[in-house]
Amino acid sequence: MRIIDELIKFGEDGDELAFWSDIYDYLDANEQSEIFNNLKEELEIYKK
Amino acid sequence: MEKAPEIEENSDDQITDGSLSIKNATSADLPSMTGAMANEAYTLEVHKPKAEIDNAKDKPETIYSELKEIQDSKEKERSLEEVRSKRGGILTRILTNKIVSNGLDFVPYVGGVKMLVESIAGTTLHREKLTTKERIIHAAVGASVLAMDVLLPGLGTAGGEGVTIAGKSIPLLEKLAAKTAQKGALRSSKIFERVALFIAEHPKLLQKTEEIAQNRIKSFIRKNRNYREGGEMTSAT
Repeated sequence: MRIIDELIKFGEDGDELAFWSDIYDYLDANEQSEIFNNLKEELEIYKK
Repeated sequence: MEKAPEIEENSDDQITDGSLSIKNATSADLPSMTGAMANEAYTLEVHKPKAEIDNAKDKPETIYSELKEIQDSKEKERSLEEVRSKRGGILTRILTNKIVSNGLDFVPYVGGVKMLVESIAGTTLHREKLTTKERIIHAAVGASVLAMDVLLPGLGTAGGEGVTIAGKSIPLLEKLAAKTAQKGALRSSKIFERVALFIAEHPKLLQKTEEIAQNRIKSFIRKNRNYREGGEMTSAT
């Protein structure tokens, strides 16, 4: 996920984000979208 | 007779506010000056170069923008904290739902233990902030406690207070992975497997989180001894 790479550039914990990336494909669609939106929201806060 | 210092208006390199400047004055001249003249001499001493005066004029604005910057950065940190905390909550919910929805437990008392799981997920020993990594570990240990209740029922029995989670989180998550795989829920199984791997990579944080969970379990059992029989649930906090 590109979002993850960008969050790491902003200093977010790579281990934590690698974990999400690791389980992402096994999540249900609604769970995927929930986590995707959460990460996107965090990225938007960094970019403000 | 000693030559008096010359006085001129608006020396252009020193004075910008229209006050008098004393040219060629030395400290030796000061005792001989009286009244307004002496005051002007002291005024001269406190004048600063033009650039510094300009900066001083801007100072209120500078302080304002610095304060605004600090406030914005605190606001940003609060928003980040909130979104990270939500992420920890998402994982707690995902793991809890996987346990319940995969038919690992159907009885009503699971609602009470879910309360315990949520309390573990959001708690620290000394009220310090949880890091994002710790939030994963807390969610994982919370899920292990729920699994312990499902796989090794005992929390709600007479010996419940003796139940310990220390060192059990990884095996319990592995058991959950195996159980869900047996039921054909392979994606859920992979998630439990990955969670177990993650917490195994952080033994110190895991140990600390298991201690927190243990305290919560004890408190929960004291307050909800009969939760399996449908008694009223009270939070572990």
